[in-house]
Amino acid sequence: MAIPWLIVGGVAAAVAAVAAVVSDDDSPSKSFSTIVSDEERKQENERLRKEATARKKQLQAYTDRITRNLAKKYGVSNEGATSKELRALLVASPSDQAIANQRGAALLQSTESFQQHEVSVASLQGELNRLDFAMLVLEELNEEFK
Amino acid sequence: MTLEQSVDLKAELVRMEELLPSSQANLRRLSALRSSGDQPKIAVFGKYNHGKSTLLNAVIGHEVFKVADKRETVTVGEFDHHGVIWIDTPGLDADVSGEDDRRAMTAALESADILCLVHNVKAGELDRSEMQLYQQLMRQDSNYRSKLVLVLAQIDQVTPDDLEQIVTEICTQLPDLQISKVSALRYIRGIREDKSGFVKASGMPEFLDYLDTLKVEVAELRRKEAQRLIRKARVELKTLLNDRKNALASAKSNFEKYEQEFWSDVKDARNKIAVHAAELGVM
Repeated sequence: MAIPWLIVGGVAAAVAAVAAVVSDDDSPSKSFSTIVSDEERKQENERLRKEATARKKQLQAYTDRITRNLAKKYGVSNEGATSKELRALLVASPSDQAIANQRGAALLQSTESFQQHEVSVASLQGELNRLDFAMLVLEELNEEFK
Repeated sequence: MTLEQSVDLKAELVRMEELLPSSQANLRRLSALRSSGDQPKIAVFGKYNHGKSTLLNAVIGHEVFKVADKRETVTVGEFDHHGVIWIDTPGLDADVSGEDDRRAMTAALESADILCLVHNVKAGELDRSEMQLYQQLMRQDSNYRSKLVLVLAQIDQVTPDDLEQIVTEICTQLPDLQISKVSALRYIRGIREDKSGFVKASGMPEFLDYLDTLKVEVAELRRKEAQRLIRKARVELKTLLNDRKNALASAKSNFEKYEQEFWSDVKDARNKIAVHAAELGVM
């Protein structure tokens, strides 16, 4: 049922176009250039759109590569939520910076090296506490034998 | 920071042995000094059949410790006599004594205030196992020399010239060591037969007089020894403390660097992405 409508519509458009060309018979070259210009503009817009898409893809690939390198350096899994968190941290807009930094801190704390550093510091601190206590014990013994 | 009253110092000394492995023996001695009663403890040690038990029996006045040609003393024996605890130990012989014997010997040496190393003069100079024990004691605490007496036993079995020569040889091996020359059998016979000449010639009265002087000083000796051991442990602990403090400072610094590096890398990565986006005209 749509076909008769299209035919009618197409005919109407053609008539309108022709009528326009005819009624505008005092400047036939301008009308032609307008049509050409519209076509060119469309093509140009299409080209620009494609270029923008390509550039966006290029930037995305670049961002992915940088994220991968950073993930590798800090032992963040390339797949999964942590990698996405890292990517989000790198591309966060200035307005989202505070939230991104919080996420970054959580991400940092989840890395294996961070946890190893944390364990190492805690272990040494514990050992130091035991040694300090042992020194107190020796002081007490010294008093005993004075 | 002070210690709470409830702290069990004995248990803490045991724990400290793990922290200061090279002071283990000294810490055990310190623990022994804390729990020592008023009575002095004299440990008699040496190779088997060198006359340890005969010497102890002579000191005590009757046969408390078994004397035999084969190795009889297999465990540490203690006997309280005239306010002194005498400790008989298994033989030093490395070829026959097992790990248990060595542990028992070490425990006896750690609990004693005075150490009598009995050596049969007929054996000549000190042998390897005796020298090893002496060196072990000196490594542990060079002041062991002050509480160590070398008892040359069975002097009645050699001529005076031979005795003199052996003493000279031993003095070369261990200079500055207190040496007592005795014949326990001659002493026992002198007492039994009431012959003062035998008693005098046995060398035992001089030996016992020397031990008496040490016994009188035992409280002071213990105090000084404890303070010396505490000083040594303190020095080792301070070295360890400094080492661990440096290690902690280094670990903290590495930790901070790691965090800084992370944020610096994030900042760099963000900048790179922003610059690249600007170059591509993608904002």
